Amino acid sequence: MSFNFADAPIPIRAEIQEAMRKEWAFLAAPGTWWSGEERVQIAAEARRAMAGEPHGEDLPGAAAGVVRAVAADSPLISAEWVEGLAATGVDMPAYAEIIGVVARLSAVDMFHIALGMPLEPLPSPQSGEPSRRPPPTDVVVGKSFVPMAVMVSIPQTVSLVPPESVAWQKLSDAMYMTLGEMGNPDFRQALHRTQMELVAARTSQINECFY
Amino acid sequence: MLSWSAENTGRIWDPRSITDPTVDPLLAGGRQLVAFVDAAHGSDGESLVAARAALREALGDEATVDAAAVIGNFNQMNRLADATGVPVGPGSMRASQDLRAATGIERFYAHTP
Repeated sequence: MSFNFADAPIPIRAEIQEAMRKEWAFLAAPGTWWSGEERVQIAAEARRAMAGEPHGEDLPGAAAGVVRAVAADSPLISAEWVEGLAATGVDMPAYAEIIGVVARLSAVDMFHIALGMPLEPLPSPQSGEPSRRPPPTDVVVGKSFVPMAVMVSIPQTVSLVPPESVAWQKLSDAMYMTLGEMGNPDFRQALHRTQMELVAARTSQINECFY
Repeated sequence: MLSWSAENTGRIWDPRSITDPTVDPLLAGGRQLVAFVDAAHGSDGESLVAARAALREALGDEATVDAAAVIGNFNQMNRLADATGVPVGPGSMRASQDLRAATGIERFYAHTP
């Protein structure tokens, strides 16, 4: 069983453990544009990039470069850079899926690092083909690097690939708060909302993320 | 969101603490929270051990887990935002004008297409 926190230095909420187990199962399964094997390879490449290690040999060079940029080199990413991805064989929906996989891996890994726990071994990939489900047709183009369904906003960032949207929001529900709870300025778990936002703001400052 | 939460719950805090870790955030355990975030993103394992211990001492184990979870979640959010170039909406830009001026985070705003 993955994410056995029995030896964790601090008791971990069951909600977080369950969300991370579900994320690992989702990561290992065939996605929309990448197979389960490729998704685990994307996660492995992202992990190497975040650790400052050289790239591996599993993914094609272009895809590995994209993964590494999302994981650890965000200043490289611009509208022009994203527009040029299709010519490298990574089209927009495939890029959105990479973003989702890498973003969620960073959440899981940084949680472990912060608590001084070893990183969870990546899951064994499941066999099967990607669904290749076409992206939504009602998308907003030109207001962000990646088209988004319905409206341009954080909840819609990877909405070109709906299962990726669902996955990151589930993880965020467990690690932060639900969209419904965000409307409550007095929300609290062990930390009060204001303390949580201080942690969020400082994290974003270190990552040089304006949003 | 930080200023919104503080304003709507009557909490006093110092926004300069976001960009200057020497400034006291004026929140319970604020200094320890900032130090924990900084150490989690650093490469000095001993600093992280010390920052985690200080946070546990100040706010307890459950709060330390919550803080680690928020750190993880915002690494996710930051990558979603930066990789997709999602712009901050005009309403949020207006609401955050004073905060941006106080913290100098304007320099990170390079992602509007």
